Amino acid sequence: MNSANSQDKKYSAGIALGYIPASDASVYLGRDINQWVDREPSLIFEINAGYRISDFFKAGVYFEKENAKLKLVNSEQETINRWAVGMQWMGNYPNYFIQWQFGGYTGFGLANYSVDNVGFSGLDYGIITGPAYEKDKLGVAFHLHAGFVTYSGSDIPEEFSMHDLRLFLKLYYIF
Amino acid sequence: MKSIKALSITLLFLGVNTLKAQEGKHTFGLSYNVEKDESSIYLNEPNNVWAELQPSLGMQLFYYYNLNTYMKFGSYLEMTKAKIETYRTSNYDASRWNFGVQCLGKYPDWYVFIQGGAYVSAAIANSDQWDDSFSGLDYGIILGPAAEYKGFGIALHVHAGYSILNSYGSEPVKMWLHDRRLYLKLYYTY
Repeated sequence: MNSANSQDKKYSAGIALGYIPASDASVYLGRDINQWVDREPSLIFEINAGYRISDFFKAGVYFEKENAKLKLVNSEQETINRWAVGMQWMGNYPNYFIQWQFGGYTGFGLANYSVDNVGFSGLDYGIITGPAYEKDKLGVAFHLHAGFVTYSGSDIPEEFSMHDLRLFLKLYYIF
Repeated sequence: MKSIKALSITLLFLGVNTLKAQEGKHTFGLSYNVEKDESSIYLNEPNNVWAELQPSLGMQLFYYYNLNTYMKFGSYLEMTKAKIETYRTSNYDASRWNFGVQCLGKYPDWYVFIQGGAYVSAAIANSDQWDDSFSGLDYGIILGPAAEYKGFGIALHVHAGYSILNSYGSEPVKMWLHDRRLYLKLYYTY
């Protein structure tokens, strides 16, 4: 029952819903605002596709979208809409139906700050870890993404960086 | 004749650069790393400054257990010496020790391939300029090309990561560090 996965299923496609808890001073709005901003709880949505290279390793691509809610000093709640596309890779051990997964991601992102409609672009990167369960053609994973966003733009603020922890529930189909 | 020659060269290339036998289970290695200068360290309360990290060097010892041809998992010990500068201070020395776990996958299974992985470690940072040492967590990704031949390997990796460190001294009490380091790694698999 808890034996090795079949190697004949090479591809996976899935969706994920993530929760980003509130955190203090985790978003930096750089020149010329220079503020570390608290963030409110928010949701993030991801679509991913993977190719299984071996029983223990897979690589793929992802697209994600989030609306980060920020709480500025002496200000109303503001939002940053962010989209990112990139690649992710993941190892698993053991090669059972229940397994632990560990990997990383890096991508290119675009963000839009609700105040004055300021745009940013830049790099996302981070690690992925958590348990997963795979049975026949279906998989479910509970992953922690711990990552960093470093974006820049031409307006004020010129910099936008964010470090966050995201909890994802992922469902995927293996074929 | 030409086509036979071309076929022979192609077969020779495929023979040399095709699937290798995964015999060695254990990998030991050593790496040197460098980071260019940038404002990548945030010293919180009460300093509240982005400190400038001068070009710094580090050394890492690592071990991997090869789970299979494409995936390995292991641990590492790393030491980094750095010079830090803020608008309030001139250059001063700092050091950081890391001990953690890392995993690495690769593709394709040729002599030359791309590796992708991740690391998580405990970290301790010290400097004479701080009241107390910092301790906390480092994590990040590993990405880059590598080449292996007869058990010997060489890799050029980028580590892009983040550190969250806390101190029990009076100032500064928090340090956040995001760094992108370039590693030259030499290793042996048996």
